[in-house]
Amino acid sequence: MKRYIEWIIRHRYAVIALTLLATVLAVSQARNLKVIIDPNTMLPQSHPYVSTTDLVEKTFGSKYVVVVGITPKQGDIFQPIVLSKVQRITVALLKAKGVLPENMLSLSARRAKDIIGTAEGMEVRQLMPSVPANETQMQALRAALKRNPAYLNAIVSKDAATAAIIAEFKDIPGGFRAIQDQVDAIVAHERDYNVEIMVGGLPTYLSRLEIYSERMAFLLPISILVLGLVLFEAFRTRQGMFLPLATAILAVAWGLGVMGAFGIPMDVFNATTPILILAVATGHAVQMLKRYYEEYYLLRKTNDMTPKEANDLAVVNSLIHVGPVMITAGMVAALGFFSLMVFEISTVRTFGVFTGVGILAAMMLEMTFIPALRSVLKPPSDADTRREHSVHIWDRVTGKIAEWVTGPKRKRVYIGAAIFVAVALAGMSQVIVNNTTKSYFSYDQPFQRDDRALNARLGGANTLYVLVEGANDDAIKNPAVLQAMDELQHQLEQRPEIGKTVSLADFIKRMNQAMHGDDAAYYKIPESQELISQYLLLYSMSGEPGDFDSYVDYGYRMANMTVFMKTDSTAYTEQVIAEVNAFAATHFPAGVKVRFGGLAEAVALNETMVHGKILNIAQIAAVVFVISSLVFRSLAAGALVLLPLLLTVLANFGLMGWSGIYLNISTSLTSAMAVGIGADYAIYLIFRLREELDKGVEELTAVRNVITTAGKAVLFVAIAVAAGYGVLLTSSGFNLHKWLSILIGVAMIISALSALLLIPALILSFRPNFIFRRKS
Amino acid sequence: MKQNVLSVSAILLLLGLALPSAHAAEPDLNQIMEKNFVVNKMVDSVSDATFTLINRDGQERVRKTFGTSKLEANGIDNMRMTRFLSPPDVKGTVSLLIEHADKDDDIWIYLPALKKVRRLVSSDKKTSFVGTDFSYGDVIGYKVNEWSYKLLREETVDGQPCYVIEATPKSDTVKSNSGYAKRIGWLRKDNLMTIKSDYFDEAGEPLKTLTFSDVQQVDAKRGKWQAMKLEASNVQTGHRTIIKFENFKVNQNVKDEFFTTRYMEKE
Repeated sequence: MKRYIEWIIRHRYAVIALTLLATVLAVSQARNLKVIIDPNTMLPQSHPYVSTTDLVEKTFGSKYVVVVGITPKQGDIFQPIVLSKVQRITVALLKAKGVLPENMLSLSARRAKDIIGTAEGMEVRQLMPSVPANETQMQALRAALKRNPAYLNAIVSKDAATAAIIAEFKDIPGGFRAIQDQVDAIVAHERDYNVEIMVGGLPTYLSRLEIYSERMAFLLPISILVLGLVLFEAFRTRQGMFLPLATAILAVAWGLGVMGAFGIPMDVFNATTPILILAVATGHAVQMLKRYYEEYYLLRKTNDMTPKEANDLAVVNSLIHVGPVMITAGMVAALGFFSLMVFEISTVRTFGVFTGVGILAAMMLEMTFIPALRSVLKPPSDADTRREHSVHIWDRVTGKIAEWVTGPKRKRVYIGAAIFVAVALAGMSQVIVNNTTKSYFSYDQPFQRDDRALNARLGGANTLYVLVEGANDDAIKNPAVLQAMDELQHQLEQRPEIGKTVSLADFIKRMNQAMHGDDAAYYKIPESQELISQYLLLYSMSGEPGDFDSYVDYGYRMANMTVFMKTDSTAYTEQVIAEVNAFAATHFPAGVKVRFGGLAEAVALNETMVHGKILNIAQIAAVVFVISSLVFRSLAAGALVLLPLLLTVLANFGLMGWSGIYLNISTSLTSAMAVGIGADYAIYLIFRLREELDKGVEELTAVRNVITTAGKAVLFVAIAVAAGYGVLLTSSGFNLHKWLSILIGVAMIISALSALLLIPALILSFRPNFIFRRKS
Repeated sequence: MKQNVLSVSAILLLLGLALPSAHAAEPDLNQIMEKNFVVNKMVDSVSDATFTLINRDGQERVRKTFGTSKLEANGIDNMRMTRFLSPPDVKGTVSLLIEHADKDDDIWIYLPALKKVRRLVSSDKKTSFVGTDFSYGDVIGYKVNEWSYKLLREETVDGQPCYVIEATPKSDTVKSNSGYAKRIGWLRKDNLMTIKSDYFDEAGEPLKTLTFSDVQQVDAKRGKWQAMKLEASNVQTGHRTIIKFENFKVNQNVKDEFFTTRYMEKE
């Protein structure tokens, strides 16, 4: 070890040059990084909700729904000024990139048909081929809407105060923002003092998510700056600020470079992973730096060395002592993260590889670049020494901790921990697994207001697809199937959050009524399958070829029921799915299955991500336990290393439970990050304690030394990272960043406190063999 | 120098004289379109027809029918009766279409499951002809004097020399009634049958392409021709319709009473 370090110091300029070269290389490779925005590619394609959504898209075209609502400030929508806006927006949207023209629905859409029953037969006309020019035509439009309830609450609200245009888009290059930008531009022309125009739907939210997430580009540098400032306050030297940050930032750059070089895709869910690498890398760097200062001051105090000689020797000594510990801790964590490679979901694999590589990079840098650099840099001045040695708040905190742990108050530490665990567990039991994109943003954002207004006035801006699938062609023409669909729709519409459902059943009922002279008694599914077939033929002869394409497939084997929901909550969607499944089991004829798409895909995503992440946590914890046990040749040691990690995760879930933050895609990611932080601290503390005891220091003094040296470094890192991510609290209107900030902060502090308090306390109480009775 | 000026003016004069005569050699487009309009209007006909509707994904709906038609006294509008033979669940459904070039067509339909003849009102000429990618207007033809014509070029299609003629509506009313801002037709020079036609929607975007193949002379005496295979494909929706005629016979003395609602109810 010593020879190796001396070799590094001898070739320090070469090492620095090579590091910089490697970094340039990494950055150039990082530019090849494939960035995946489409959540589809991150989903397990075998999930039934995912494959159904694909099937719905392929068969019926529907993918992303945008709803534009227009509410006049005065009167109802039956005014030329309002209806001409509907017409112009419809025409403009038809030309938008990625739009599915045949699925367009609005008063002026071609497929919005008025079915009229007459004494001698039936008429099918376009609902609004042109904007009514006089009162007679306006009355005719009112009457048309009244007799065609299929459009009520979909394109016109029940009170006629709001009209809507429902456009469906497929994926286009540029993602959700490209969709949203087009819609916004079209709508901007039509906004004036006469009307209120609202835009809603999934692309609205996901495009905002993309835009708000980009704040990271300037928030992250500020976070890092704050982190550095806290380190500066802790070490009181400029090196204390810059060196850990250099390691952290280079580790992230190397991690990105390796991913770019190997073609491992980066995705939006890993946008926060650099935070974890940053925290872990800083942790190692601060331990190393803290030890260096200790060694340096010791050498200066006890020897007559020049600052330069003391500097080089301090570099060697600190690396000899901390190097093996860091490698152990780093390997434990890296193996834990690399073990995620076994997961099916690509985003989880990326998370594992990225973090693992980042940790290895941090270790490599600390073993090469940092010692080389430090031997080049000026040694600390006497003023630095004095500043570092003056008593700070840090010393008071670590002093207090040492006092509790070694003194008679140790019991109180356990009681405190027990209370903490109890409170956290109680909170954990209240955690709600739910994903709603709306919760990512604060309530008062303008687009949130739009969305609430749309949902309050119309059927709902979120769509769940219920795919009804028969065993063979023409299955949907079976009256029993249509009857069941109709009943299901009726039942679902009783729910307050479901404002509208549409399916083929609505049109069959309407045709049956029209063919019987508009007699309301015939607004029902006819009993004969032949008649249904003949109605469908009849309609096809009066409408356009594509009129029913979004309701039934070409072979009449599958029908698509669109359920408009006022919420995008996955928990609520799961309830609806359960209700539909229960209904289908008892009401649909044998051989007819129901499947789910649209909003259900978010359920799948949430389910997969949350469960996946919890499995991640368990797996990483298990790997950490096994490897730590092997390293220390003691299960007790494994358990001890695991403890702060478990408490951190517990704290995270407990906080979510008590504060009502949902366990969703984004917060589950944060919890999985918490698992990577805690283990390192325990390993550092245990090694340092063994080192002190090996030197023959009395055990209580040894514990005190550990807490005020390695322990203080732990505290530096935890507070610095927590403070750094505190910056994200300023991301106004974006809850996602606030959750991240709070959860990371709590994770850092709990992992530090639990390591500092419990590990020494437990060691003193239980006196495990791997500390006190080692075979040397 | 003076001589040169003179000779140049002499040449210009010659050219000036030559131009009108070249113009005179150009075909009279209105006349061509008039002939084109009536070339497939037979006195009457009976035929078996297969309608195949194909969606974007290539899935098909196939309907077999037996049809009769008879030209009305005005020589423009047809009466058409279509009896559905398959698929089985619509067998026995009968439709009766009385074309009206000047107003909405009359359509009656007999649904055997309902055992009633019901009247169906189609909204306008630009809407789909019985659910196909052809519009009512495409089937009846467009009034020659409502459109302006331009000969784009002459070219050979499938071995047949053709005129390529662009038609644009003379008024906005014609444009919005037909739904087309432009039509480009390939007309066979020998019989003036359209064998291909491109349509552009009201915004001027390509909308659909119609092709007429297997063109046969069905009435040599009157010079009537019929394409046995018609195909319309909508380039905007990816939807296609193919109509195939078999056993197409003309001059069958089809009676007027065939085209009554009473007759529809007969099996």
